[in-house]
Amino acid sequence: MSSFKKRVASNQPKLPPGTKLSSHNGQVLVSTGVSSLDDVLGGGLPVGSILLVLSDRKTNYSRVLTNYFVAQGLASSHHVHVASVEENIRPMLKRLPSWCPEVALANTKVPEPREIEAEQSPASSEKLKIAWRYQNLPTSSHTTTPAGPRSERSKGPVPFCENFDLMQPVNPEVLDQPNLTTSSLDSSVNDHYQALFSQLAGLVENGFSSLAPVPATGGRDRNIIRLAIHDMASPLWHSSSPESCFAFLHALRGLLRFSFATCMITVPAHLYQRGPQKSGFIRRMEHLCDAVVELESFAGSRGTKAMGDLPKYHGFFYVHKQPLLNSLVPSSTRLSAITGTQLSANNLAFKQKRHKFVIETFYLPPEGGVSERRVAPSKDGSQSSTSSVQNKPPQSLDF
Amino acid sequence: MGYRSLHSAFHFPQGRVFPGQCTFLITDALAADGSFLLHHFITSALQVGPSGTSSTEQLGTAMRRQLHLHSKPDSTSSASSAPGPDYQVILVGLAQIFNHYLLVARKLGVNLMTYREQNRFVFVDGLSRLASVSDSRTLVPGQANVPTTATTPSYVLPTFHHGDQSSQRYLDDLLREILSFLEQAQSSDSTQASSDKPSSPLTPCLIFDDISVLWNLGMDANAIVQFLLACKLAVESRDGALIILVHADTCLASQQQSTDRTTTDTNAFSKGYDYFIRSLQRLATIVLQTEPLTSGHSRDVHGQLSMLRGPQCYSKEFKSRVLHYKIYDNNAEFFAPGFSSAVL
Repeated sequence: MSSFKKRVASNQPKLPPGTKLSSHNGQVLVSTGVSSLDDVLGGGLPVGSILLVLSDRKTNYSRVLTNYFVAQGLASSHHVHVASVEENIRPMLKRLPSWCPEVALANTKVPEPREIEAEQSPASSEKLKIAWRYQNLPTSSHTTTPAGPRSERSKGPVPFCENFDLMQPVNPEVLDQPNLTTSSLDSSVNDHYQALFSQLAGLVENGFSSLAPVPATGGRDRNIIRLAIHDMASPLWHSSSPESCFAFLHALRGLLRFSFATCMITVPAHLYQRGPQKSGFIRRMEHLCDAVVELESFAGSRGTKAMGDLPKYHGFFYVHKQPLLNSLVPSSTRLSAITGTQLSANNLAFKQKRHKFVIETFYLPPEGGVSERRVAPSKDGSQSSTSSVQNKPPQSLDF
Repeated sequence: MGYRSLHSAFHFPQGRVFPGQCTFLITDALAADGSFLLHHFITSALQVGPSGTSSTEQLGTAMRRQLHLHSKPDSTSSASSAPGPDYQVILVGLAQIFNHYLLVARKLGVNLMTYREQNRFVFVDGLSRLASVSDSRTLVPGQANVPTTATTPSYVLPTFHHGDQSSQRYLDDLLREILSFLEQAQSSDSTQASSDKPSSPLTPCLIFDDISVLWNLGMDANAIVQFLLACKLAVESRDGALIILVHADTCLASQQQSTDRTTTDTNAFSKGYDYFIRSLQRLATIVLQTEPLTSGHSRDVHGQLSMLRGPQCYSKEFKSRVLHYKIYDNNAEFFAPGFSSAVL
């Protein structure tokens, strides 16, 4: 009789929707909405941590990341709180990317279970003819399932990272849900950091704190709260002393560590830049956060101006700090597919395609460019005589 | 016991974990986090002495194979446990919560909970309530409305109000609290030791994870250094060790504090962060400096550790040296530059 006992899934506490356990250190992770960013961070953002995004100059790609973060929270029915000083938040939220099951809100009709079975059966009966080793792999649900009968998914587990479409703005009905709250800090407040922290503390400690016992009433399960703070420490933020920004971050870390919450903060770091060296003010903030990434767009950077010609990418993506909770090495060293096995490989670039935002390894294009390698043979004989003379030397070099 | 290759690299007399009366200052940077060194000190301090023999047994062979730095380890350090007094570790966590240290120490083969029950490990929480804005929190560990669990810290630092509270007075209160922990260890040990053998009183090992948090929250640099000096004297009079971690990126040097209005100091001009770092260095016996490699990121070398003599170092044996390191899941390996196991 061995003491070995198989862990049954039902014995373990149920995970909140839209989360997963890290296979590296068993931490609860949530998705940032960008699957490649999740990968760079080692599977996702650990619950209880702060992600600091240093914004790009002249462009607004960090807003895209915030939008993804908020939309992912709405997609997995987390509580989402957006805070900003600068502008009215509602118009900003109208531009959130849409995701597939949002259609389910429109047609509330739940199909019969028989219907679902009938719909699933052709897919399951379809046998793979070649490459049997891939047969047992899960098929990517985002591409195969049609947009129509989506409500079946609302009963099943929520996907960890949704597939978003930047071209399609989100359904306005989603924004009226009670789990989306915003706080526009008005300029009359003496210290924005203090005001914001008391708001956040009130939100988080009301049902999302791990210090309070699990709410037993009504079978309410644990949920996640996501905090998105837009453009912190911009000139519009009032503070009673320069230290209140650091006090805010330190207190926020202490708050989040004991709660089911994650936070994404964007900071216009370039405002504090003086000379080529990194700003010390920003570095102090970086030390107080758990993960730090930086976006440097080619359009707004001086050093890489020439890179603007590259059609493939829109800028560099730097990872300055990996989330390092409860372990000695960040989990991305083992799990990340993009950065490989390096601690933080700073050879990443981002690009915003029409429909999605991706981060990938930066490669220089092949020498000579990829656009037009050969001169098209012209039909007109008289013109070709002059153009062939001009094009002769490069053609001889080109293999 | 901690990281074996670091232990043998220190090469302290009689194979001890710490030489008696020693202050370590760990200076790190964002690209080369130095907090992994703290876990070495926490775990190795708890595992020394007569009680350490059993716990080192359970360390697997993975821990033992890292001895290639000193190909000929002396007889004392090759023994299964390092000799030395029983340490009491007081950890002031200003950057992480207790769970973090607990889980990392478990990976390193030490269960902090058992040591906590023996009062040999004390955790002071400096994260939950320290910052001035955290007044608005209602649920803070250690408070009456929060159920006490096994991971509740022994003491939670009260809120520091920048501007209307003297940092000197705040740190005096903290010092009193730390001294009371030191005295508790002396007294409670005598009752515990009555079981089998008369043991010597516990030797303190006081650790501050990230003292720069205090500076960031606006505490006066002079007051912090005075506080640490008092800690150093208290600890070293009991033959113990003080370990301080501080961030020392080069770009931080020009950072200024807004002046503390309540200090009685007449020349209350704002001193930079480099002043703070340099005055900390004056306290140090040994400075451990972690830096990223100048040649950039590497898969097999995560950074460079410089072991430097501090101004308070009077030992003739200690030699400054530079090592490279690689951090694993449950260990860290230190080797001479160019002697990475991926190269050899």
